[in-house]
Amino acid sequence: MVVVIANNLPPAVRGRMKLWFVEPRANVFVSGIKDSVAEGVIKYLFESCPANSGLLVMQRINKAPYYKIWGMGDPKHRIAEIDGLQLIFEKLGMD
Amino acid sequence: MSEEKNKRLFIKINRNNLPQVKDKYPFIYLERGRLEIDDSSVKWIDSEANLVRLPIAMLNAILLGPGTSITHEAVKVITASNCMICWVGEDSMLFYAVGQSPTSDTRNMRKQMELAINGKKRVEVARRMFSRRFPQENVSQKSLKELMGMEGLRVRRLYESKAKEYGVGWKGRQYTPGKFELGDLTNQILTSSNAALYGILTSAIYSLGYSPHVGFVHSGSPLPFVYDMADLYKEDLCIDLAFSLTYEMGGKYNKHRVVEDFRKRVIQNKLLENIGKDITMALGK
Repeated sequence: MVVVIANNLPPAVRGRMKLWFVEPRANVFVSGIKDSVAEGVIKYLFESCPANSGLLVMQRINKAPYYKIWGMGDPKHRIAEIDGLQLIFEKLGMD
Repeated sequence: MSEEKNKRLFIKINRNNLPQVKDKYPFIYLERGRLEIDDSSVKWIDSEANLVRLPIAMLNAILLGPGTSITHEAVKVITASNCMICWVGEDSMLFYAVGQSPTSDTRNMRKQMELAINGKKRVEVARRMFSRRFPQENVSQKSLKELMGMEGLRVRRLYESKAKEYGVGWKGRQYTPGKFELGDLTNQILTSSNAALYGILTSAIYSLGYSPHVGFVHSGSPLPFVYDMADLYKEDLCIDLAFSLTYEMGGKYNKHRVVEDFRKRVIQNKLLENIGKDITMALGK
């Protein structure tokens, strides 16, 4: 399963996304595609989107912790990694 | 309306909304920071004031390194969510906190006790454990003492063959409690990865409703069942890791590298997925 959340996608990419995804809300996409297909689609997304798309992709994977997160451009919260576990920094202390 | 407003949203932790051991993340290691509760969730604030929420019910164990503090409420919530807290010293010794796990009842523990106190059944369990390690040998007539002798020899040979494989000098296993730094590099990695393995296994064993204190092969130590089970996994998770890392680290001990590589192997070998099945295999249907 893949969930994509974006701030702003180019119309062409947004249209193309609907080949695989349903869009229950504007710029929120959900799909049940398998891992092998997901890799290709996510790669396509990252290649086609400009940096200000604010892209957040969540994918189900089949080994612990069973999810993977990608972020691109304008991330409100940085993705943290503690011992290989992806978490979200809610507040950054130093910068 | 006002009644609605005052109603607190509170999800009760019970066995239906906690994941099974096999679906959890094995462990995370935290040091220099603080664990506390905020809005009913567990938050980690590190020494640089970065704030991260931890999905505690998805974790099998938290290893707390030096320089960490934790609040009373955090211990309560973490243990109620069936996540084990281990305090890890600089010398890799572990101290545990265990909560009353809502996912387990006493059925499994009762079965374990019945097998352990019956001499004949106890040896049968030990033989089943050893038959995994010696698939070519017939262990059905061997006594506990003979089995342990076989195991000692196997491990010594294993150390030597791994030392040869990776081209690492080996003078034997040494471990003096409290004098971690005195051991050579391979021994230091062995000690700390063994300690982490014991932490994960203790947590998993509790979560599955068994007792780490009732063993079949080992006895007279604080966690005999943990040591019994650990022997099934040590070869690849600890021994091979220790020799391959000694080769790669080039003489300088780096605990973060050890923890990271150990965790990768735990996930690769599907330890948490296998432990439930392996205990059932050992104890018999």
